[in-house]
Amino acid sequence: MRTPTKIASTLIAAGALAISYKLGAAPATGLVAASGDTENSLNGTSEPQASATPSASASPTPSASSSTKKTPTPKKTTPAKASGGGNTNTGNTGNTGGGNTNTGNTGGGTTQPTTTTKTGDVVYENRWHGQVQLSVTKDSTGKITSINAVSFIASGPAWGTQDTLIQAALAAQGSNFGNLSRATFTTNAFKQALDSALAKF
Amino acid sequence: MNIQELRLARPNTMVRLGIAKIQRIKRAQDLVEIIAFATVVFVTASFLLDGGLTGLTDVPSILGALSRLTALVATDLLLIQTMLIARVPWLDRLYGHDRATIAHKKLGKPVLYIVIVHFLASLTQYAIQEGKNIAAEVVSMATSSRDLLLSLISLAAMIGVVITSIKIARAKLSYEAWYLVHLLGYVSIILAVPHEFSTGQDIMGKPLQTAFWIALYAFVAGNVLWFRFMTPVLTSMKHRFAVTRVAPESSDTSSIYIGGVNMHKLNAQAGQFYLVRIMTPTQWWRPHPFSLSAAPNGEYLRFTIGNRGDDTAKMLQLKPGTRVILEGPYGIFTEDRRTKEKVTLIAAGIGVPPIRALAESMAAKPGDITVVYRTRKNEDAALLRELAAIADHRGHTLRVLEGPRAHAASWLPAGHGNIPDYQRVKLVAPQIHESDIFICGPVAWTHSVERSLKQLGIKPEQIHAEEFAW
Repeated sequence: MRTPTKIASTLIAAGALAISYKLGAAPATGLVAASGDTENSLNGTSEPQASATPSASASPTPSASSSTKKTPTPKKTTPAKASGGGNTNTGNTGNTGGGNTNTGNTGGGTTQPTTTTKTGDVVYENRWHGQVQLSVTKDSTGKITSINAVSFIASGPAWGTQDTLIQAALAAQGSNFGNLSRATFTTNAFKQALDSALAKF
Repeated sequence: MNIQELRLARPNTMVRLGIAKIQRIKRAQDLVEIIAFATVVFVTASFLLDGGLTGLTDVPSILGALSRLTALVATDLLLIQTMLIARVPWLDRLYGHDRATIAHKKLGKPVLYIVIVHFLASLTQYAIQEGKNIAAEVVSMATSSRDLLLSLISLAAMIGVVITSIKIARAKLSYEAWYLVHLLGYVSIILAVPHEFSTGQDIMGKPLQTAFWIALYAFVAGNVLWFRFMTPVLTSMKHRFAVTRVAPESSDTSSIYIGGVNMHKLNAQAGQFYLVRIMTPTQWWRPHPFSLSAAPNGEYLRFTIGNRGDDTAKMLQLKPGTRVILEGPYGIFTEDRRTKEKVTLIAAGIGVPPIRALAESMAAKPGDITVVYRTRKNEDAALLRELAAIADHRGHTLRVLEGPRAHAASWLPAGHGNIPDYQRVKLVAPQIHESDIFICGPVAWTHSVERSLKQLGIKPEQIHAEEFAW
């Protein structure tokens, strides 16, 4: 490159990188396991779900105040222990508390079978910075009627496999199903998350 | 020597002189370099935009960020490396084979270091996170994921390529062995692809980045496949290139004549070279760079080669009719780069073929061109009689400088007392200041000629030299 071009392109590049850094530093996404909206957007279904999803910004106050309101699906929110967050966690199971939601008979006149929803622990999949947390809904007969991904973060071939895994778990009524090929680590994390939710019943 | 025997090509009748075309080339070079630079900036910026440098709270997260960034930059540079060495015509026309190759060599080791940093960073990161020692982590990587296993093989191949390149630079390895190992470079790049797309957090699930990387890979692969594989094979099939004659030129040089059909349609120019692939069962896999030693005359292409390596000795026993595949033509050591009316051609030893071809084909009035031929012994100098016949026919001035060199650093033979080289140039080629200078010879010799010219105050734009670089 000729000198003027070199100087100009270096300056432009430095500017572009500085702006990128500034913009990138704003939302806390990236390496640290994402929380909040990104998780919800990964959910394939729109089932009611526990609001106990831990997030760094969540403080106990909002949930306490919400108890005064009358909602169709009352929430029995157990205050979550503070999440370890991110990949600093070396163990496989996170130390997050689970939230329970009972979807009982609501104001409507029709009688529905009572379903119970429990949310399991966050399971970190360390190799690919993955993270799985599931909430499981059982009906009164003990049948698993729905599984909901509270959070599902997986990269590579495992990206977007939550629906497949949920279908497999529903069919098997538990974690006794085969591994998804090329997503072994994520399958294992999913099974652990499922078992942890089931253990809460 | 009978001038009819030489079957000389018709000299060019027109040449555009002046510096304007060189300015255009420089602009185009700047554009290409800006685009290459922009890809590096883009991948770094997309990493930063993604919050790549946020949340670095502990050692594994720092290592993770380092591993991501080095992976992105290294992959981008590796693709640039591939383009530099792919001998794609549109790059060759801008930079010439030698400059592209020199850039490729310079970039080779740093890229490897970046790749190694990526490998070590991710390895350490996983080892810390999973509480394993490094060796156990390598085993775990290699066994847990096929893509990672492939990437480990890719790394080993890349290290092999760089080590053999350093070895050959020190002439410990033959060209043939180096060529074979260097093909591993392609293997290395291909094997690394799966883990980039399957585990790369900066690609998966990000449409813009995915599109960018796929486009980049497709662009490079397309250029390599089309220009390095398809074009030579198709051209050689169309023209049915085959050896027509092999003739000795001196005690250590010989000429190979390549004939075929529609030879007048070839777009080669005097001063260019081809990669010649002799299609015999033992030689087909390694091509050799040979310069044209005669301007293409519509009948045959002629290469004059030194009998040095093990392969070039075999070339002499080639039977007429042996098929060849030609890759090329390459190089910018041509009249296209000429900016002035006067020309000085300077050759030494086995550098004479392109000089001989240029002397034959350059547009010139009698007296415009001075040919300087540096020989050890005139009776054993390749193509000297041809050069003399051409100079006589076209009215060039021919200066043959015979004898061992004056002193170790001199590119001229002994004689003329203690006058330094750069002053002697003026005596040998009085119009050197007003001329374009084309130099071809051994690397060290070429550099010492260039030094003399710079001492004379000749502008770099006037000096044209192409190194034998591969």
